[in-house]
Amino acid sequence: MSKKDEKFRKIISENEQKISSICRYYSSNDEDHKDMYQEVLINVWKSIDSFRGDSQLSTWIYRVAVNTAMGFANKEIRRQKIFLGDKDNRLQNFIDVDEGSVKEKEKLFQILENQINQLSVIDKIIITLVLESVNHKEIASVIGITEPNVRVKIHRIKNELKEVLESFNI
Amino acid sequence: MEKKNKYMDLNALISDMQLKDKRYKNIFKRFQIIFFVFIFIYGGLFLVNPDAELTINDRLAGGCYVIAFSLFAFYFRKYYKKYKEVNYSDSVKKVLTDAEKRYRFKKPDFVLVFIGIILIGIATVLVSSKFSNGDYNIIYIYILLLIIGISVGYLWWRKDNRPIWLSTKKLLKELDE
Repeated sequence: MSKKDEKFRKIISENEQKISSICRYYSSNDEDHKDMYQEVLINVWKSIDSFRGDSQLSTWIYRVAVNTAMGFANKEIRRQKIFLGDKDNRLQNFIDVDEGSVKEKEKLFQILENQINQLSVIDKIIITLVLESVNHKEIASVIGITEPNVRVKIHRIKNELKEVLESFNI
Repeated sequence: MEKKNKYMDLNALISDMQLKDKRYKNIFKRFQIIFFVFIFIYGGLFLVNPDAELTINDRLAGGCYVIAFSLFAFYFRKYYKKYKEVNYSDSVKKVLTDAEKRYRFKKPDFVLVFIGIILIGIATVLVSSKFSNGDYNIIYIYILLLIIGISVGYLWWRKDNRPIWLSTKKLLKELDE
């Protein structure tokens, strides 16, 4: 087993859940999920020599996953639709909606998912990372902007989503 | 005993990727050899060749060919590596900044290729001057071919790469907002 092979196996076995979870946002079904997961693994392999421990391994993995999912590094920059699947509770916490006040949870979730898909590409990435409970510092490092900038963007997204909910009287 | 991956057969994936790594290295090596052979042939024929019939123009032409092929080899090496070894682990901003540079039409390094093309033109004129008796039609043909080449390249870039270039520029602007 080569060193590269060994390092690769170790990284994947420690992070398979994280990779899979990020891929879920960008795949509508199991088949797409499998394809994206494989694509991320291929890009982890391609970039593995660049990991020297300067950043956290999780940050490194998120970078590869996000760049792969959005196609930033190749010829096809995707205007990806994101799928929130079973992330309704996390989403509710994110925009501080009181559980008791929500009568039609499914409707709320549908509205939010639609609205999130209207957001810009960068904001979509931020949302997925926030829902994965990635801290602001790490998000800043994945995207390459400052931490205060991340906070501003998150605040803006929250307000935008809240405004939409208000317009639906939710 | 290693834990089995839930989503994928890692062994098959790794062996497939190792095969691709090997193939990439071979392609790269082959191209390097082709350029090296060109440099060797032209250098040998026009520069090292002791033939007394070779004029100063021939020697100059040989020099131009060798420099031009060296520039092409350097450019090829740089860009082939850049395209094949895109680093997915950079931040989104860095990857976008690199993509913006990669998909531009006017790349700073293109000056090298342009110098190479001019040198080949000069070399061709120098070599053909022996047979042309002052008739330099070959220059016009060369310039015409050059214009056609650049136009086709531009149209191809407009169709294929411009949309990506514009998208990356838009996303970079969005990042700074």
